[in-house]
Amino acid sequence: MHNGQTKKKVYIDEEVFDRIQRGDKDAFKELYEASYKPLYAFLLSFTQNSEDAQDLLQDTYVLIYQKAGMYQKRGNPMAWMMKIAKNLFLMKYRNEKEKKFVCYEDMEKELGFAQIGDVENRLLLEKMFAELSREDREIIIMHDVSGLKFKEIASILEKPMGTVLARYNRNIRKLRKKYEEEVRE
Amino acid sequence: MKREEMTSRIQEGFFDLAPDLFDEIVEAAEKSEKDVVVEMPKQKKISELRRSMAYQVVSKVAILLVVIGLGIGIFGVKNRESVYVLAMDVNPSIQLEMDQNYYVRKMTGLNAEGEYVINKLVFEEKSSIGQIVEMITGELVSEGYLKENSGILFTLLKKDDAHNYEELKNILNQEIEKDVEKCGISGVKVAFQTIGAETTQTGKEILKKQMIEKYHLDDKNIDEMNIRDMIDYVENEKADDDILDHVKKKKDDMAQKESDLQVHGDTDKKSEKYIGDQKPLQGSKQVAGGGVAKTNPTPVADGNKDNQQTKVTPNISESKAEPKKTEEPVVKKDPAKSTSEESGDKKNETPISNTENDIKKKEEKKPESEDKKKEELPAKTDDKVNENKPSESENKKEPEATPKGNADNGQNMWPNWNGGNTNPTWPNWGNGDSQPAWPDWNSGHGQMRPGHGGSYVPELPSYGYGYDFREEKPEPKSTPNPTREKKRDLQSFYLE
Repeated sequence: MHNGQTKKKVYIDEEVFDRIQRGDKDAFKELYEASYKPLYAFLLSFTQNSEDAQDLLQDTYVLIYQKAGMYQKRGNPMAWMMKIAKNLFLMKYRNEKEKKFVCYEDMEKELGFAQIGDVENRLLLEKMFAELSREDREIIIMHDVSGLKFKEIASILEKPMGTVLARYNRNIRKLRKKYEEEVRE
Repeated sequence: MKREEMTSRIQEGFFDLAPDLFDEIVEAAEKSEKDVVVEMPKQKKISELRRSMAYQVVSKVAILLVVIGLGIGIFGVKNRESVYVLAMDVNPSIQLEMDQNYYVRKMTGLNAEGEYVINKLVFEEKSSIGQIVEMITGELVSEGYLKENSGILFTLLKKDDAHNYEELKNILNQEIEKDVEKCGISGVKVAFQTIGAETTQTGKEILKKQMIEKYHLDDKNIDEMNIRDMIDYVENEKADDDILDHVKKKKDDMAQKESDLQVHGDTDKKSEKYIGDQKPLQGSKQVAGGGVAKTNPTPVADGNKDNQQTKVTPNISESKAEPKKTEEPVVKKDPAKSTSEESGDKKNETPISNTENDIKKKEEKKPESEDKKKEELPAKTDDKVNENKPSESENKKEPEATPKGNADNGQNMWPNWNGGNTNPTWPNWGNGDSQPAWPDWNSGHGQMRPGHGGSYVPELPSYGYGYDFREEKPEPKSTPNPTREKKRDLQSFYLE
């Protein structure tokens, strides 16, 4: 049962990158703890496979650890990290086509949905992967899971903010509709 | 389930999935600290983007017309002689009041930036709207308010139907297109909204209110948006709504047709064939009806208005003449000749002296072959509806309306399917209630909106809705017009 709690905010102190650059492992741990969940969600949406997502997550953090000094303080470290993750995905899986899940068993196996305790949460995520395109999921994850602003999402996707917002709203409506249809059945 | 709960559940679900790999990551990071060199994929350079087709489409002035019939209104109008009132919003918001000849009588800054821009302008007492918009645009660009890929929102106060707002929109479109090109900026999108009564709000505030009411957006989200973002948002939502409405409507039509068939049995063979071909043709005839209903109710008044506009800049008279060209049946015209014919018509419409008239008449007598061709066409009357009626012979052969060819100069790119509407508007697809829809659905490529680079356009099934292509005749009028293709991105979108 959902306990009605509101969304968790992802907060990353920008100073953490300076500390990481100086070799502070606690700072790296701090950054990891604050960001690995939304980053994993983002990568899972791209790869549609939990093992690939884990590999990429590791590569992303290794790169962040090495390139922390390159971070420019612009108020959105999560957006920077997501850009790195997306670039790594594009390098590795550039030619891979988007999968279409035909049954929920595949999702359970490939996405690891069996780990989700709450049935309703799981149903929502299943609908998300079954009904929405990769880019539509990407927008929802960036906004609702990672807490990015639409302006930041628009800049990452290189799309007008109005388009991003419209797509977000449309897909949330669609998702809700599909979810409610499923629940009714 | 409420939206907040849903998004919170999505986050919770994903958080459950994420594995903690910190130790592995630290190990890997330490191991390859000095070895790993990851080459980032190259981002597209702006110069490359500019060269790409998508950018070229967006870089021209794309026009979006957002029409909002509101009970609320626009700007306190103090000058009662003003016939037209409009606000131009970029971020500076400027209100312009004009007389019936589009001479600007009053200019007001609706916010601090607007006042600042106005104060910097130097203009003559009697300046046309074209001149004023040119000056404002130049100032907006030089002050950095109007940049590449920004948006301009025009809000028109529509006092009544007697005035030619379409002409004003055309003037503004053309002026902006010209000005932004002159200033060397690209990707500017222009939108229009019309409202019904006076208010003190800026155009942006009016649009914001609409977006909150209609799309249930948060204040916070809209505040993050600039004019361009807002235009994009409404355009996206409108397109989506329109597509859904259209598909739903056509499905209903199909269902109705099927139920009619069941009632009438085999008697209606024609209808049976349509269903079998999956080409819902109901509405082909209604299209014409719908178009008639939509025609400008005051053609005579417009004609008088034309005569009064002798002092208007050539730019304006051009925009005036163009919509009329589209009404002319062009079945047997040579495209090369049509231009000269049309310019001749245009000249006839402007008031000229008797001697000039005589000269013109003599000149017109020269191309006899063209006159003969004209005789073959239906007689032109003041009634715009009659202008678009098919010839008698066509009428006998096919009771259903056939599409008009596209022999205009690119101003009105879409075929005039709705029979007589002078506006370059979307065709009526069905029962004449002017549901906007995207044409060329039969192609099934999902690329329905020109000038909309990079945005999401849903792929549509090839239902062949809305237009009976079987009735189309292989005449020059139906061949693709290169002008149309070229200028397609400049088309005004009526998203009513």
